[in-house]
Amino acid sequence: MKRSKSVGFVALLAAVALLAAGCATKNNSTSGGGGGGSGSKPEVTLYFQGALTGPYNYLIIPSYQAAQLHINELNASSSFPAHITLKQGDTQGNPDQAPQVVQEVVGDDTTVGVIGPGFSGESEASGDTYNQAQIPFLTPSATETALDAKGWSYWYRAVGPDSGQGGFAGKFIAKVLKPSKLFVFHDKSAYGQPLATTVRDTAKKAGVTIAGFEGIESGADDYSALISDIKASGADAAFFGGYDADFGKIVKQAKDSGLNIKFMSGDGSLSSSFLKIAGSAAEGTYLTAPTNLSGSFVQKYNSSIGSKASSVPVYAAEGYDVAGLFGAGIKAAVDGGAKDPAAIRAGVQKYLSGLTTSNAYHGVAKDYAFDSKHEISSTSPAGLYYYYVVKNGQMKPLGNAEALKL
Amino acid sequence: MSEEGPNQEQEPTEVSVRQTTPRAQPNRWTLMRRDWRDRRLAFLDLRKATYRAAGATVRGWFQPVRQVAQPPRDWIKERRRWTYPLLGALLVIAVGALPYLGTYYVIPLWLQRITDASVLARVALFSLFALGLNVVVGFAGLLDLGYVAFWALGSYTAAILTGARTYSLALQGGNTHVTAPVWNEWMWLIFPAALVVAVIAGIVLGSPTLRLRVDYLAIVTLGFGEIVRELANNMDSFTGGPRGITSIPHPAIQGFGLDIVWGTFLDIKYYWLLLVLVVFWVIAIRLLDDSRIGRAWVAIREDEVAAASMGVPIVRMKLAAFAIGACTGGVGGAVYALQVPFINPPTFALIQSILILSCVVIGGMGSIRGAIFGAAAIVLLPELFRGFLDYRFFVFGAAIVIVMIFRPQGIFPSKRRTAELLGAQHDDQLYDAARAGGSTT
Amino acid sequence: MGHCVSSIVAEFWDQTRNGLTLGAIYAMIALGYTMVYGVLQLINFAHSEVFMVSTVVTLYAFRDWFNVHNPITGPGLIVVLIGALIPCMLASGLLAIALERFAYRPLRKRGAPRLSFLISAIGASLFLQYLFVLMDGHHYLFIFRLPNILGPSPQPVPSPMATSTVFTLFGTAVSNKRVLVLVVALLMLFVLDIVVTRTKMGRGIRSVAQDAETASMMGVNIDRVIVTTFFIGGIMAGAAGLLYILVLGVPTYWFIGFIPGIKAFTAAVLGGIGNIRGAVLGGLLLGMVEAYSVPCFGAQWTTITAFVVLVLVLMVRPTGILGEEVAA
Repeated sequence: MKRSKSVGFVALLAAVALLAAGCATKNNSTSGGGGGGSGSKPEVTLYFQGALTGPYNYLIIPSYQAAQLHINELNASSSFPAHITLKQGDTQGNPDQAPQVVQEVVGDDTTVGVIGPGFSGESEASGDTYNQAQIPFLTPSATETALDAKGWSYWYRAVGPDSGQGGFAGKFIAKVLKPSKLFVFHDKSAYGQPLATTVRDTAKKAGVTIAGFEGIESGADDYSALISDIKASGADAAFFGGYDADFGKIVKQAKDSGLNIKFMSGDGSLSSSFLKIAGSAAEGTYLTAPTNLSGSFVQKYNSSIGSKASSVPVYAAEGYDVAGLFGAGIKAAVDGGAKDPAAIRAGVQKYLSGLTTSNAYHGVAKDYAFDSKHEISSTSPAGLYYYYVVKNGQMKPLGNAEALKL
Repeated sequence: MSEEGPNQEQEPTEVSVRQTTPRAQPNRWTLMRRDWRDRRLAFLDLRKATYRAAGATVRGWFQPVRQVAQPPRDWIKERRRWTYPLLGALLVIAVGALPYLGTYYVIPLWLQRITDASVLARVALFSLFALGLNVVVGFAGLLDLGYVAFWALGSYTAAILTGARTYSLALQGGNTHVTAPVWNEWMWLIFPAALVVAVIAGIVLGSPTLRLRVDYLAIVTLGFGEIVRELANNMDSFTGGPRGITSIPHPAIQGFGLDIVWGTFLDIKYYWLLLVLVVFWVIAIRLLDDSRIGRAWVAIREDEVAAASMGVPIVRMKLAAFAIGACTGGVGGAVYALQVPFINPPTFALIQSILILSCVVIGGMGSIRGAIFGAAAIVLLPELFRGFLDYRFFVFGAAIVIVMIFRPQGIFPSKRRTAELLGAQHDDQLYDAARAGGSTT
Repeated sequence: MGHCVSSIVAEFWDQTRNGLTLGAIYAMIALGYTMVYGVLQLINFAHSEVFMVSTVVTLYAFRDWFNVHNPITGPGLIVVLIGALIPCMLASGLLAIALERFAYRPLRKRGAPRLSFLISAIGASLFLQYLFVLMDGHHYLFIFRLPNILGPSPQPVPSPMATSTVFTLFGTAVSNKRVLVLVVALLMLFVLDIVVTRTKMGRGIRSVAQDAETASMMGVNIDRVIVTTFFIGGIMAGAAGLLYILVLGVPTYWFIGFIPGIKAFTAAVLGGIGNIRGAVLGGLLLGMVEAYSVPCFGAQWTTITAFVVLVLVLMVRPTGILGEEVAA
């Protein structure tokens, strides 16, 4: 019994110490708050939620870099009425990691918005909570179509959904690649499978014979068995719905084993990593994505980021624009008299919902306005989707779906 | 009462001898002497019995035999009868109130991070899983590397039964006019359903494989975990495939004058729900461990052949351990699905099984508080190191190796297992098993 | 079912070639698992990292030391291949010894329960994986800056060997790389078999596997036998790492060991754990089963097929196809 008494005593001591420490920090924090108040600009926080580390970080890092770039510019400008801190919410792209990040975002009193979530799976896992906490979240890269049906009033999407991407990719295959037989496969992921399904359906409708439709196991290294299967199907073009690492290995091993057909994939494979992994075998591979890699922003991105710049800055312009949209929203809210983060959040949401095609936000990639489902609304949807072919180890732009008259 | 037998036989002869003596009534000294004699005889008798039962060792002589010696009233013991549950209840309330620490006091960021309701709910979830796996690994000594399968089965059963799957499939088909499922009273039945599905899966997996040796079982269970995940990924029309199941309704208790509705996963009530489950499981597993089944598991773990020859139904006992572990995983999985409320196959990767196993081994195999401590360590350590994002798993891996080197039995080694490990140095294993079994009665 | 059979028949020789190549690599990795299991009854979960290190050394050998940019031919190629193979095998062997020394031996000396070894192995595996993730030149360990070795992103490995068809069998083209893999694998397995069955060292290994205590009483130095076993297992995984990169042309990355490691462990159990010939048989069988499952069920069912076959085999033969060779 003595022992438990002493344990109780220690616990009491600890509690007292904690209380004392608590009081001490409380005092500090109030004085700190007073010091922060000397500058008249309110301090607000934006979170960037996405795969900042892990296997898919190639797809997310450029937009993070660009968002940080834009926020630095905003903070440096004297006319901008707030000071933004961009914090990282790293999920590795894994929905299971999302709750921890969401909890940090929601628990932070200074949060005014979230750039992201980067992928669709983590959007599903985070959306309900953000919506309930009334935090605007604007994704520059999560493209799964069904997200817009969730009815989240604080969710916005700055890129075209997969249904558009897959639909136009199917038409592109039918009209530009003109294969006699098409093999469609995907990585059985929440992103790859729906994209591949849409491509298969549109291509079929456009009169292309489908030689096979198959899922693969993502993350494997040996795809020889799959390649033998494609070879046996007699296809002369193949579309892959999935990510860069798998696509790079498959294209390389296909060329290695003498399977010379046209390969095409979507935005998940549009990365510098794909070019590096596939090497010379990547030549002649087609890619599509709702992002423009040849816009005027790319030079600015390369010069400002320097050596850490990605050679395929996928969604960089969108990341820059999303940060800009938040900046414009915060400015509108603060100018409208909002002072605390809650009021700013409401102001940002009001600003984003108020954008229309005639009164759009002019970004570096395109003009931004949102429709009733908070998808990007554009006067020409075909103008959102761009096509690339690999030439001399570079992504050579072929123009957007509008220019190609798909 | 059998010790009175010899007494009654001796009594008449003594009486006949003493009939001539004037002392009709024996005085108190005689009574006392008789009493001591009886006690000694009984002691010898019982000792012989114990001695025979325990196997012929000299050490058997020094065994305390509580039934006869009748120690003075153990005040500490008697106080424990109520102090322990009381202290336990207080502890549970204190732990349950932890998330309020940050609301009433200004606490450092790291403490705020680990006392958040959703993080603590993850600790409670992993405690539950660790308790379940502890039965399989710690008690019965079966190595299960695919525990995540039961978590997945529980989650999917719950999600499918709530009707969320049809809703997600309709959404994916572009039909936005359907309405999301709402929680009904009968939906509480998904917990027993998840439990039953997991148990059935455990038995289906267990019955053909439990006759394999431990290491074969390891790879088979690992394979089972992968098979369940891949099946969830490939059976699109049944599980929603890679896109998983979304918009699983949050639980609620309405009626009986109650109106408790669980919110998004940040809601502290998930933590409390899980905490209640953990308390329930701790009590249940303690009772099991002290029962015949618990002792059968010890016997199987220590020497399967010997246990079988003593009449322990090996396969049935192993299956029981597997089923108890499985049902824990199933129930925890169901709560997880309702809390998150989005499940898809990548969540149920092999690394989760490994993490849960690490909880059990780091905490101390076969130890209940060890399992809970291990779960807290495994969930909270990466949370504490969130500031050093890139170093998280590096430090974690090194910490596991260091803990294993310096405390191979885990942080809180199970007393029973420690006794066995020390006892195992003697050749006579039967004796040790008997002693280990006797110490808890 | 009809579709399954007809597809397998149509692609039979192609898939047999694919399966044999992959299976030979599985077999080489499986040897490390099976030999360590034989002497210590330990599942060396960190063996996949032993394999991973070899792929990293392959990267440095081809890219930096031999400066390969374009495929080479003739004697130069042989020099490059052997020049890369030896450091690969050495690095993997030494890492395996280091693992034994720092992650397992302290536990062995303390008489830890067997599961503790497994957890220690998992911890060592995580540690090594993330050590390579951190070694990108931007991270610090205390005050030391970690060198730029691998980092979190896949690093493509230049190939010194151009793919060409050596012969065509039943309409199936067999490339020079695949022939090389099979020849090297068979050669190494043959040498290993001789070492284990004919030499003094091999006898030591077998005696420890049968009964460590008696072996030590007969004068076998158990610690030395265990270190040797780890080293041999490491060497085999080292050679497998180089062949893997060479034949598949994949980049190396920190997680590369995971899937081959799991598959090789499955192969070892399939053949009968602790049994060296069993590991070879199990590896080849598993590779073929995986290859045939693709035309039959589709590529997404490969893992399920592999594990279902394992369960079925174990139900019929609870100690693997060839039976185990360890002390009970």
